Amino acid sequence: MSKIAFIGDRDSVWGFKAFGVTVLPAAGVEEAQNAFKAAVQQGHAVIFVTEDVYEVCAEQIAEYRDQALPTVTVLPSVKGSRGIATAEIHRAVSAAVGADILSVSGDN
Amino acid sequence: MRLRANPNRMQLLRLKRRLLLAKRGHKLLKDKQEELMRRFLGVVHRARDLRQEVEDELAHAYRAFVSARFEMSGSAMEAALAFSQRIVELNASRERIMNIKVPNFAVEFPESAEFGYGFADTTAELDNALELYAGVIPKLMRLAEMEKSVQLIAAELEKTRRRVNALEHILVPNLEETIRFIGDRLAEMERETATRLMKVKEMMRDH
Repeated sequence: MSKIAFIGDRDSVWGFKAFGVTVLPAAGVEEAQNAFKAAVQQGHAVIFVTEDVYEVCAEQIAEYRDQALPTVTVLPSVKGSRGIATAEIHRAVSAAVGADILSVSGDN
Repeated sequence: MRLRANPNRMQLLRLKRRLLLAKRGHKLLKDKQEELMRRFLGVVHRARDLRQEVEDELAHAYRAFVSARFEMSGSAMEAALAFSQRIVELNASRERIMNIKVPNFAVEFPESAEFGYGFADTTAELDNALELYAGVIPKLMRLAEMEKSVQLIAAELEKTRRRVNALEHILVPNLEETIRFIGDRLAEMERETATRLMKVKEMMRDH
């Protein structure tokens, strides 16, 4: 069984099927949450989610934030990126350093 | 704030030992914090650049895939994707960075393998799109690994920073103040005893 899963809208995840990735198309809120639960239970090491799925599953995903595995990573969907993952990194930086050093260096 | 402690020699010794320990702990934690910060800054910049790269490439791949989809029937597409032989193998393990467990993903990719579907009912667009996907997948894995490391190191850094601050700004000053207070009290008591003795001696001489 594959160790990689991708949850999101059908158009975004479908192509990954060719590489043996477990694709879990999810349209609604409940569907996404169930898909995420299933992905964790099946022991996937890496779970990619689209930004939409990330938003509706935020609580579930937060449970695994402090563990090495499974790793949950946000990817943009076919509709494009809204920069959620980047915002997430910025938040981690400001929590760790006490200031958002990335946006400062990004302005230069 | 002064700690609650009886002003006697026993307590003074105990507090001095605690102060020494607190200072040593503070130094160690400070070293840990510096090293974590060094690693964190290294990985965070790389993660940000990789994220940018991945999002661009992925958008590219998505576009190619969606346009390939328009040219094929849904069932032919489904079959083609299901029969593909280019299965990505992932070896996931945990690696320790300064006692933080971070994931480590090794991707095995049959780089040269053909897609297993027939040529008859698939289009060149699909091949192109999947080629783009193939290029992006190893990067996705690296990104997953690095962003997770960023999260984990950030959490550890925050914890360490709190501890360092608690020692530096609360425990150590409190201990120092209490030690000074007890020292003063003991000296005062000693002077008191000395004067009392002198007074008693004087009274005895007068008799």
